[in-house]
Amino acid sequence: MQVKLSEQISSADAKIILRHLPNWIQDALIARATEIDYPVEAIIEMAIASFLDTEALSFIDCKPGRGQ
Amino acid sequence: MMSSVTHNLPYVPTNNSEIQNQAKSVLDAIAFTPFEQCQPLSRDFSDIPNSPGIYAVRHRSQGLLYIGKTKSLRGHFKGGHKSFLWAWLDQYKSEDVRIAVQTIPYSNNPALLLELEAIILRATEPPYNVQIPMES
Repeated sequence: MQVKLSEQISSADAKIILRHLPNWIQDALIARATEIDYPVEAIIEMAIASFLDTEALSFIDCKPGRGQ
Repeated sequence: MMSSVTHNLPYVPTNNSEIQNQAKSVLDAIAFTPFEQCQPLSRDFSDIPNSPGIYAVRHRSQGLLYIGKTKSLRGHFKGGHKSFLWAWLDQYKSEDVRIAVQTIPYSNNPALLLELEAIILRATEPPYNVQIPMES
């Protein structure tokens, strides 16, 4: 299996995205990342992917429209 | 029932036996754990971790009803899972429906996610989305 790592949000990108979010949203995302021991970039990616597909945990397993 | 999806995921069958074995181990854990050891239904599902994971909704005699992934196992069931409605419509007793869960730690991503996704897709048949033989 060829995993396309470039299809994930990078740590650097996550820092940029976080800077553009309200403080309490930043705090909540970081808290959730700490709670489940995931990096914050994975949390941001999961938030987007699971919005589009309730069964997705990341972009790579996201099928937009599933579960809706 | 899962909606029809035409989006093609960017994966091909894996030849990574370690990941395949991990995925099989996860599937075995949720599909073949003795029913009595699975989590009973409750109002708050407080015994289920609030973590990303894969789950199976199981029936005592009918076997697997549903397999899925979710970003929060506890939150997913607290919010009401569609399989519970279907089980109610099928007049299954609540004590005959239980849940088996496995958390998915980040260190296993993303290759394991693709393997688990492939398992779920292969299992996408009735009754609710899965049809995998259960223990007798």
